Amino acid sequence: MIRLIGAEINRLRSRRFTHIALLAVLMILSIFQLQVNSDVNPPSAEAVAANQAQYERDLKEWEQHHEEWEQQCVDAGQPREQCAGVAPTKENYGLAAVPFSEIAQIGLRLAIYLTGLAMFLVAASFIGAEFTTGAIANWLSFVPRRVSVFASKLITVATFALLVSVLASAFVLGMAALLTSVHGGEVSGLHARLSMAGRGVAVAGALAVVGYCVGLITRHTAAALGVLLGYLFVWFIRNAVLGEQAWAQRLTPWSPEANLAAIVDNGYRYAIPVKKLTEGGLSVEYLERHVSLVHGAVYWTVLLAGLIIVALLIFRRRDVT
Amino acid sequence: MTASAGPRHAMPPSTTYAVETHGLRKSYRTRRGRLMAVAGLDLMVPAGGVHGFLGPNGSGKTTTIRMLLGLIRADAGDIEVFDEYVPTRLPDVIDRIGAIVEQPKFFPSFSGHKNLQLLASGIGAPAARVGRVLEEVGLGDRARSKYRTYSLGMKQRLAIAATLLKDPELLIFDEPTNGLDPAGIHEIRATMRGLADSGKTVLVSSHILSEVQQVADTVSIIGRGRLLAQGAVDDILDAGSQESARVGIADPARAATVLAEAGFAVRSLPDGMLNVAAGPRAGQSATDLDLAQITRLLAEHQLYVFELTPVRADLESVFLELTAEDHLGATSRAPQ
Repeated sequence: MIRLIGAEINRLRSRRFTHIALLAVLMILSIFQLQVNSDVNPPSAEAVAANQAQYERDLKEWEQHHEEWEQQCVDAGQPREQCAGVAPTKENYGLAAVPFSEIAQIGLRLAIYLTGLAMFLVAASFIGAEFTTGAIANWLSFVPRRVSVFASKLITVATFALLVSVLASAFVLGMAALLTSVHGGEVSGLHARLSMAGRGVAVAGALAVVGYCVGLITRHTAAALGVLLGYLFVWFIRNAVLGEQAWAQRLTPWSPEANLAAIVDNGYRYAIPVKKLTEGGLSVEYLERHVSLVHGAVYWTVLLAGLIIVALLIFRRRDVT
Repeated sequence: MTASAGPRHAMPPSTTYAVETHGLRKSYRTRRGRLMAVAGLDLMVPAGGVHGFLGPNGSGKTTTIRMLLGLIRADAGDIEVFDEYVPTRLPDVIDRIGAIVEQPKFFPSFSGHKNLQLLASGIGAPAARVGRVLEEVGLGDRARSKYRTYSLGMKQRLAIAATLLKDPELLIFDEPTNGLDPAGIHEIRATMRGLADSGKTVLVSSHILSEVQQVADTVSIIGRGRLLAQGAVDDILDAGSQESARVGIADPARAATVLAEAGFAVRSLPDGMLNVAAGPRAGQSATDLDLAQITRLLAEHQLYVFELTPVRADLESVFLELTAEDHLGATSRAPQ
């Protein structure tokens, strides 16, 4: 088994697709550091004064007109709950540098989902290329123990994803801390961000496993990508087109992406729209719900276990031509 | 002879076998019904020497080889390789088998060296062996070139090099000369013969019968996934086909009439010669042509032979005869 894993690691690190994916992740995260640098840099006194003036103008205008705007919205047939505006808040006016904790959270989210997507593609391509080139037949005629072959490839891509995700998270956190310190900010809340990074590493590993299993079942990188795009389409339909349908939103706790977000962010909040007929017409209330970290972790453990078992059974039984 | 009566020849009982299959069956589901690829094949490949596995395209050769290697599952029947059941015990004997199935399939963006290095590390072969086998097959100079830049002949040679990584006792080559030029074909033939002479068993499948005849010690001929004949090449040639003679004569038309009236089967050849075989009324068995009778008969009619050459059957004619008898050709569909 160790021998097989060694051979798979050798192949994975020699693949051009792997290099391209790593380069893309590094480039995007590097470019993001420009934004981080800008956000953690405290604004100048002139900028603060200008932003403060703008904030006060906006707040005054909102206080004077928000009831009028709300009524216009209701008169136009929209539910009152949807017409309620939100008062401007100081945090959105760049009056102070973005704190480390916040910028690190944004950076980690980017690193986790970006790395996860890249590892999904790397893993799908890693196994898909073996089927499209036919090299899997050659490999199996040298190593016919299919369970070992399956496991060695799976372990390789999952371990690789974990490693890349650790490096990406370390890069993002390290750069956020460095840039915050350079601009005189305080690096606080590191423990929470490290926990998030740890959970994110697991997420990247999970997405690599999904990519591997989907690539193996579909036997083609493009088909695996098609499955991913298909899933995104379903996600769009459920969240955008059916966003106001209670039944569609009640499915949220059983959707992979909500549970993934619950793992990354230590819980995930969502709302279920409930329509009520009142004297004033149809009104919509939003019931807030929560998907916990434990729910997300159990959901993904079961999902991955099922996917691995199905992929292994197919790989064991399938004729290789 | 009918197909149901079994194969025409068999191996001597004392032979030890590298590969045996019994009642091997495999069918595929297609849009037009089930496609019977292998239909109860009993294959015996003696240990040592070159064994030709012959049959037309679509007769089930590649499917059988894939089953031997555990790449596809048999619907029924047994396979034994070195007395171990396949696929259950295949991992125990895989190190003794090297195989090329159809076109060699490697990673196109890796070099030949890299491809072999991966295989070597997977099976625990020493890394130094990669360079050695590449040199052995004459790919030393192009070892670092990408596989996708290789010619077909180079790809075949790389596949042979891959099989040699393990120093196997049984080598399986599936249509190894497909797409090769005459020099490449000669080279592959010499390689196979050399391997067999060094004590290894070479199982080579081909639909080019004349090519296999030059190198094989024993053959199995299949059609429609069934065994038609099996045994030593000489035995199959001696017993398998009608013997004929090439007759040169000044007046071939008259000679043909005389011989045909005497019961011989006569055929005019493009070069003006006659091909004469024992016919149903010639008073001879199909495989025992009396050349003296031909000269005597013609001389009695003042026809004098200037050339008389016995023509021995080749594998191709044996094969054509077998398939004609059984109405067999490529794989056909099983009844629904």
